[in-house]
Amino acid sequence: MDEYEVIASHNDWYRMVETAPFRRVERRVIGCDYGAAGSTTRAQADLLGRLLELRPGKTFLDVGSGAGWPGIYLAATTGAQVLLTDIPEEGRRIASRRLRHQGIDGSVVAASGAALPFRDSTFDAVTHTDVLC
Amino acid sequence: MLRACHRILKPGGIIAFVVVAIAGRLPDRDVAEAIEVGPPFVDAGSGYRELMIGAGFEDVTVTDVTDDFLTTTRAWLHEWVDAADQLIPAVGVDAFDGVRDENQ
Repeated sequence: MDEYEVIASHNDWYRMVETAPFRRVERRVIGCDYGAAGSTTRAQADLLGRLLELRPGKTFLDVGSGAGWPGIYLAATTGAQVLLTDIPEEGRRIASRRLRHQGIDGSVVAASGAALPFRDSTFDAVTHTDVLC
Repeated sequence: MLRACHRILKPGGIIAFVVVAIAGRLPDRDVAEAIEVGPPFVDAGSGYRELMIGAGFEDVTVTDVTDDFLTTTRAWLHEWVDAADQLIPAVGVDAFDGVRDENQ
C-alpha cells in the first residue's frame, strides 16, 4: 500500500468513525470516542500524559493525530496546549471541529511527520500513536 | 520522522509514543507474517531504541505493551462483531468486514 492509498483508507476510516454505532463500540473498547484508528487505550493515553509531564503552560505536538486521539484528550485532561498534525483531510476536519466544540486550546495543521513545518526547539513534548517512524 | 521530532523539541523535551512493532527474537516465518498482516508501518527495519538514539534522543526507555495490545485487539473484535446489526447499516458491509478481518 503506497502513501496515497494509506491516506485514502484513513479518510474512509474517519468517515466511518463519525457514525453513532462506531462511537459506541469505540467507547467500550478504548474508553473514549475520538475516532481512534489504533489500539491505544485511554489508560495508555493517560500514561503518555504523565510521561510527557503535560500540564497548563506546556505545549505539545501530536503527530499523525487523525481525528484527535489522543492529542485532544490529553489537552482536555492536562490543560496543556496541543498542536495536531496529520495528512488525511477527514481526520483534520473532525479534529478541528472537536477542538472548537470542547473549547480546547489547540489547532490543527496539515503536515507530514517527516517534514514538520515548525521552528527548532518549539515544543515541550511530542507524542504519536501508531504512526510510521 | 524521529529526527524531525527531535529537532522541534526544546532542550530537555520529551517524546513518548505507542507503536506497533515486531517483537524481537521471532522466527523469520513469524516476522514475515507480521509484515504481511500488520499495519503498513510495522516493518521498521530495526529496533525503536536504536532508531531513537540514532535520531539524537537520550535516556530511551522501551515498554512492551504487547499484552495490552492483544487485549484491546480482542476487545475490538468482540465488540465489533457483537454490534454487527447496528454497524453494517451505518458503515457498510465492506467496511464492517474490513475492520473485523484486520482484528482477526
